[in-house]
Amino acid sequence: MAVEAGTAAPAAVENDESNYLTAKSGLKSWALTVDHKRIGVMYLVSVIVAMFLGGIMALLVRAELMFAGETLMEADTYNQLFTLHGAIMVFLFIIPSIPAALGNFFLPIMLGAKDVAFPKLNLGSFYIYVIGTVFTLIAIVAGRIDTGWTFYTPYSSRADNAVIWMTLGVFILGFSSILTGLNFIATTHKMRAPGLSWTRLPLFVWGIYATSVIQVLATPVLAITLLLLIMEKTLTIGIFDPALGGDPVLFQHFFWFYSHPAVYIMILPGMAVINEVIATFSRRKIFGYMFVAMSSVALALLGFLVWGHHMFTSGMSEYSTMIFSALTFLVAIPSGVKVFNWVATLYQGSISFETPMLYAIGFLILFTIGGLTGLFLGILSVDIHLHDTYFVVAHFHYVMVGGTVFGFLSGMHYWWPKMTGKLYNEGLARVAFGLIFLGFNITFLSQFIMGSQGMPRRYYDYLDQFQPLHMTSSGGAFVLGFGFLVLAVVFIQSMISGAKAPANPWGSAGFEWMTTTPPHAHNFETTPVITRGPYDYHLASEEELFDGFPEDRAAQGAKA
Amino acid sequence: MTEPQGTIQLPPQLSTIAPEVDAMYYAIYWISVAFAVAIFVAMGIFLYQYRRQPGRKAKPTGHNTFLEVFWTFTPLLLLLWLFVEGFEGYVKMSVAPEDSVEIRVRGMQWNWEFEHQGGVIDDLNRMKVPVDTPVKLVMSSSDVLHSFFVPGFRVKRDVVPGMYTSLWFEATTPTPFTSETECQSDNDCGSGYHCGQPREIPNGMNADELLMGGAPPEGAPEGTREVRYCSVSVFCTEYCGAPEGITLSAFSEGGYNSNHATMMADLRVLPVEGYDRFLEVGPPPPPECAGAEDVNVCWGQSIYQGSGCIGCHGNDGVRQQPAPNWVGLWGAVRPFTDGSERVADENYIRQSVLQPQSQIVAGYAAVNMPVYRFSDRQLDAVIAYIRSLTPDE
Amino acid sequence: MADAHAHHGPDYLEHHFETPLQQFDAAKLGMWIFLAQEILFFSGLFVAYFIFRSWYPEAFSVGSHLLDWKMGAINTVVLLFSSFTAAMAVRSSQLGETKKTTAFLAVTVVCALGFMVVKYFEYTHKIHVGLLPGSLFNPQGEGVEELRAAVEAAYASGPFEGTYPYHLRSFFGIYFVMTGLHGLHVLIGIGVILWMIVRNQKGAFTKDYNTPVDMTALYWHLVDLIWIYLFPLLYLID
Ligand code: HEA
Ligand code: HEA
Ligand code: HEC
Ligand code: CUA
Ligand SMILES: [Cu+2]
Repeated sequence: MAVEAGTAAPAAVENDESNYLTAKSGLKSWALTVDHKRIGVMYLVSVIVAMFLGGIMALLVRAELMFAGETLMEADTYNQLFTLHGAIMVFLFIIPSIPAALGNFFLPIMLGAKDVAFPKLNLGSFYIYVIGTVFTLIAIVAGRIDTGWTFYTPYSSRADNAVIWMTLGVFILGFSSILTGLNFIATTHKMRAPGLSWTRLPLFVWGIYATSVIQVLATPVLAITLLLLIMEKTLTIGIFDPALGGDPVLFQHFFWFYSHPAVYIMILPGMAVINEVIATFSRRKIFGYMFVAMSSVALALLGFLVWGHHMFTSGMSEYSTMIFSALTFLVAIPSGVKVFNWVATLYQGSISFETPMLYAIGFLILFTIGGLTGLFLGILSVDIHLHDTYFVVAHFHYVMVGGTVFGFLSGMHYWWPKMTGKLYNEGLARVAFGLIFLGFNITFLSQFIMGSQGMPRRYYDYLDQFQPLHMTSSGGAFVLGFGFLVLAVVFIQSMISGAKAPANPWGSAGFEWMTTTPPHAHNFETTPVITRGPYDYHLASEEELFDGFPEDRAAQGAKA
Repeated sequence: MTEPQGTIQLPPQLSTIAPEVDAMYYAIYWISVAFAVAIFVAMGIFLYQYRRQPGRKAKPTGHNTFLEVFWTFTPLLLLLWLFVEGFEGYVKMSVAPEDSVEIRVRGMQWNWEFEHQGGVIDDLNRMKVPVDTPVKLVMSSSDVLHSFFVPGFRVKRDVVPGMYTSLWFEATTPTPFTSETECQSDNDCGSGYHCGQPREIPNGMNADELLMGGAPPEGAPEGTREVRYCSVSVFCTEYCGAPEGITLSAFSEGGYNSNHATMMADLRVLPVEGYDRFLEVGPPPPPECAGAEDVNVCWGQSIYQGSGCIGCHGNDGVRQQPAPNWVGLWGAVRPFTDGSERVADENYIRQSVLQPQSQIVAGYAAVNMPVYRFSDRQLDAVIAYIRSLTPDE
Repeated sequence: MADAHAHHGPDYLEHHFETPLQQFDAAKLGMWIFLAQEILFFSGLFVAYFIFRSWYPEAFSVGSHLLDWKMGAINTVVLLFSSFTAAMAVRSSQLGETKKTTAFLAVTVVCALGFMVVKYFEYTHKIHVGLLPGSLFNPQGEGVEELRAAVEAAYASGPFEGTYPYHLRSFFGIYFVMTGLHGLHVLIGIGVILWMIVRNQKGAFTKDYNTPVDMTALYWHLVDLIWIYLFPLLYLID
């Protein structure tokens, strides 16, 4: 273990009374907590609920699309469903998922800090998230929201007034995101334990840090955009609606100025998790550590320059189109650097295949496919054909589900024992992984094909010729949904009757495993002094690494 | 069909630009396959080779600056090439040749209107273009964003209210009106095509012959028959909504052009002479009206059914929602939301169709009727039809 | 604090920080990040302003003549002065002069209120004469007179015949949104400064610990700075 000041042995603090879950009890102790770990857990529960809601809507969407024609619902209902699916998944689930839930829990621990820099603000962010969610839910009840998650004007500025509730909700959620980012940046700069230099920072922290920078710089632009949209609807200020002298394309510029960087808000944390998991399960420091760390920062910065690639067909000038296309390709470089380095990390490692690692491998495969298909869309002439077809839908599900959600699930499995103090059923977890991986590919590979064949998106009905592919896709979605159901069983079962987890079940050298399981209310008894990097397996002592499962047991694939 | 065939991934190439776009598509496709295979194979080998085994430890990670720099910058060159090529294609797509034939396209919820040179306005959602001739579309929208997409041509452009956008293409393959291209469902037509909306054709002819001014051959049975032809698919890809609370029929039940998902047009690529002939005479009254008692009433009824009036207006004297029923409309005194009144005569109906928002019938402010731009002949027909629904006293 | 650990350090040191310096540094960094966020928030509006200005120069030219530059100028002076007093409040708080701090903060609040009063008169006048955004734009009575004067001043041209640039309504859209959001920031600032006065009176701040005053002043300077841009852009350039 990276020596703790006073070299307190881990056993000395293994006192169940002092873990964060049991430190205080009662509803109030949760609702008013400033403990980043409890806040992280509350976020985790919220985002899982959101994902569940969004997922049910996705399944309804797929059910309607199973057969051509109007099968289950009217066009209007369908339009509301995919809008809510997209908006809930993006704003309520994926953006807060890894940073606000897992990041909140682990970033301070990895830094050896007692808490984030502004614990009250952290709790505030959570409640802002809750308020934003409430507004979003009001919107669903108050009327019809069928604008698509992109809220394009003038459709949105003329649509039902429930859109105001929705945009207000997203506006508020944005501030939750900004304040979380602010908190993490300050924490990373000012709260690192002695000895934890920037070059020793876990890559998870680097990733969350880069994410935070985007959150702070991009989200305000979304906020003002949505505010302008609200004013357009209430005061008719004439900025976006052409009937009042406004410009609808300006809205698109504003929207994507946020929403492209936002896709890196989504993927960077996923990549951040993958770093930790790959290092742990191959017992090796990530190859090209500095390149990987810097590529996160590069993505954060370059991400601001490419928003126009969503608007190649919008009537923007040829000159801007050209620049945006060129810059879009630049973004592929840092992503490529990461992929190559992860693969290189496996080389000469000692790799085991527990569930978190399976998800990490899934991530590598699916993100590569998703990213490469992003390049198709970056090529001007090709995007003209593919824009607003199912090819785009498949692309972004590959990066968002195959990338971020797989990263999220990888992290969930990886840190589950630390967060809950319980082990889960490894066998069943692998079954869930298998179903999810298979179902996902069936669902979205078929969408690539129908997209390039010309199937437009946001269609509740389609030409018969797309029938077989839609059918396949829907079938895959149900397998995927079933996979998630099994996953839910895994976690619920673990909470009810899971075996007690050791402090370091995976034998990781990461800092978060140095503390007790579940962590002490103040993370560490005393502030740790960091003497090695988080992936320095060759510097870590045997006891540190192997107080969980002995190495050879894991090698035989023994189930937890 | 004898038309060019598509591949698993792409629809058939029906325009001059399509092969270029496809070449780019396949270039990036094979580059991606190469990268993906290389990455997955390397990963697979490592995962197997270095799986955890008793007594074997991981080697600490070293450095390899050469490798790092190599895989950072090599893809850059490749990407640079892709960008340049893609951009060249795009420039070609954005600059229409000087001698293009111009067609005005107007998008509205949820119809396409095409105005040809000389002010010839075709029936809604029917588009005709000449083959082997560059065609430039100048497009505008009267309500929200739409997007004009022809997969077979590989062209797409948003149709934006408050500005003109344009695109051009040169179609390479005439779309025949023959018995081989008659269809029952979209599946009969292959990708890039769909089975167009039904039309009435005199027996013994096809629409090509009708368009070129032919007559049914001797001995053909009297009357008309309903046929559908495979047409090049035109989609609206920018999301433009659906009416609220109105149950729509789907494609399969003929419910075209009732919302974003069905906002299609039947595109026919005609031989140049055919197109010229079309420009001369304009869209004729539908053939089934040839022998009708009153051609205009018959034509008006066909517009009522074909241009979407039926979606809102009833012609049975009963259905009053979401728009007024047409029975008894003619000659009646209409009350408006602003309290004024007016007798429904020719000019009133004309105005109601061309500028529906100018006087709104009391009780109907909630639904906006779309603006239709009919030619005088079409308007005459609509008026005649509405008139026919009210028996003379 | 229900903290099991022996806790050393002054009272104001929150338990998760090691030293007062660390706490101060964190707060300062956090505040700067917040200000960066604010700037980006407003930048969206500035971008909209410049785009519309480049599209509809006549509307913006006439628009600027419809705003009362004298009121704007008064407000500029008032805000600049309040920024100065805010800085002085920080200084006196650092010196531990509690009373002076309160006095400076109070002057700052008074200035801010003065600013809002002037804004109130500007707004009510605009509303009264119908110089409003978008579809609400409907100049009447005095408003028509002002419009005439503005058009003539902007074009230095012949008599006004009831024509004015259509996009004046967008100008007023932008005007109300920009000044409105800025005004909202002033209101929030007033609230925060009042709170600082209360805390200061209760003796919460000392020579060693005055971070909140410092942060409040930083925020106030930003509010001031934004106005420094708004004033010439909206009122002066024609
Ligand atoms: C997690 C979210 C996420 C991520 C990470 C990305 C990543 C990328 N996206 Fe994606 N994208 C979305 C989410 C995301 N996207 C969403 C939600 C939309 C649609 C929104 C909507 O309209 O509703 C969208 C739409 C979208 C479009 C617009 C399509 C259209 O509407 O017409 C484009 C166009 O350029 C694009 C491009 C890219 C590129 C180039 C990347 C790159 O960052 C990818 C880089 C990664 C790789 C390239 C793979 C790994 C690299 C290598 C193996 C190196 C070797 C390879 C080479 C260099 C050849 N995306
Ligand atoms: C993080 C973001 C995210 C995620 C995770 C998903 C997940 C999924 N999405 Fe979504 N999607 C978007 C973001 C996301 N999507 C966005 C932004 C759009 C664009 C919207 C727009 O156009 O405006 C979109 C649009 C979109 C469409 C296109 C609609 C259209 O254009 O008409 C489709 C169609 O297939 C689809 C499908 C799915 C499916 C099958 C999943 C699956 O992965 C979902 C799997 C999850 C579950 C199934 C939930 C878990 C369920 C259980 C635990 C219980 C199981 C219950 C039962 C079996 C009853 N999505
Ligand atoms: C989306 C619904 C909708 C469609 C489609 C539609 N209308 Fe209408 N129409 C209305 C509504 C609502 C009114 C009443 C309000 C008004 O006067 O604008 C109306 C009014 C009219 C009137 C005046 C009727 C009266 O009672 O005084 C005429 C004439 C008319 N429409 C003709 C047409 C024709 C011709 C078409 C098709 C080519 C058509 N409408 C298609 C909704 C529609
Ligand atoms: Cu028109 Cu979609
Ligand atoms: Cu993007």
